[in-house]
Amino acid sequence: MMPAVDPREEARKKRAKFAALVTAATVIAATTLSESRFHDWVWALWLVSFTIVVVFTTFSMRQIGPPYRRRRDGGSRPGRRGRDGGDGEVGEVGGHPRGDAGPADPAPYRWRTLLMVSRMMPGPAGRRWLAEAESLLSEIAAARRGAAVRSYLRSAPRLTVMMWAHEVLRLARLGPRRPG
Amino acid sequence: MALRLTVQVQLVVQALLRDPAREMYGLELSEETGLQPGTAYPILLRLEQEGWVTSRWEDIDPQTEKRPARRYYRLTANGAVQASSRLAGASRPSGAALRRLAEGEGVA
Repeated sequence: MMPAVDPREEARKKRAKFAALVTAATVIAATTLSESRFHDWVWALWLVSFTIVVVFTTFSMRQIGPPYRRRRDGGSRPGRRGRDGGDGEVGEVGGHPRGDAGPADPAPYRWRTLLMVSRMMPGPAGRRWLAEAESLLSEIAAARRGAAVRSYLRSAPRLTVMMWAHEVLRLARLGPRRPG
Repeated sequence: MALRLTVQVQLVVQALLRDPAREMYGLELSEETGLQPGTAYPILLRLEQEGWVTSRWEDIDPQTEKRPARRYYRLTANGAVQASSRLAGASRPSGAALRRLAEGEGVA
């Protein structure tokens, strides 16, 4: 049984990590570009910041993996993104349960690529695309999974353009936001 | 812009029209039409934007079912009427075109 996770707490942690990462990157840039580069204690600050960036980036990349991998590692990071966005539902994307044994076929299906591609799409549309791809890929026969992933990736550029065009039109219909 | 009835769109619409009241999910549609899921998805999205199709997430507990929820698609009343009339006026894809499509999709 997975422990209940407060989405607000998760969001707070994510913001804190992002802030630390930005701060570290800023320090690296500032010390590298400044004239007093590596004088006195500055090298230590640079080294600490660089370590933070490397550790966070590595950690983040390790966490973006197919759901089955995290389950096998004993990880229980729940999906944190709602499917349609804004509906408050904690989606199963990237962390839905598949039983303790994981899916029948352990072959990875380019989960990271699908995730990255979905992030190029407008938020809710990208989340829906990813959730639907995940749903289908979890049910499709293992022999057909590779072709299905390739078809998703092949159609993604055109779909992304279509989604953004639709989003822009939708925003244009809504008109400019009024302050207050 | 009016929806262009390409061969792929016709296949999806025909599959949905076989029983307009029936809801179908992505994999089911993909198997019925012979199209790859990545090809069927943009078509369904476009049909939904045009108001021909409506969709919803399946209401299940993924932990109990041991699978993620499916997205179900169904023709709207207006969509069924429009699809029927547009299909009646559309030129039927030739056998060769369908064969090329199936080979291109890697589906037997």
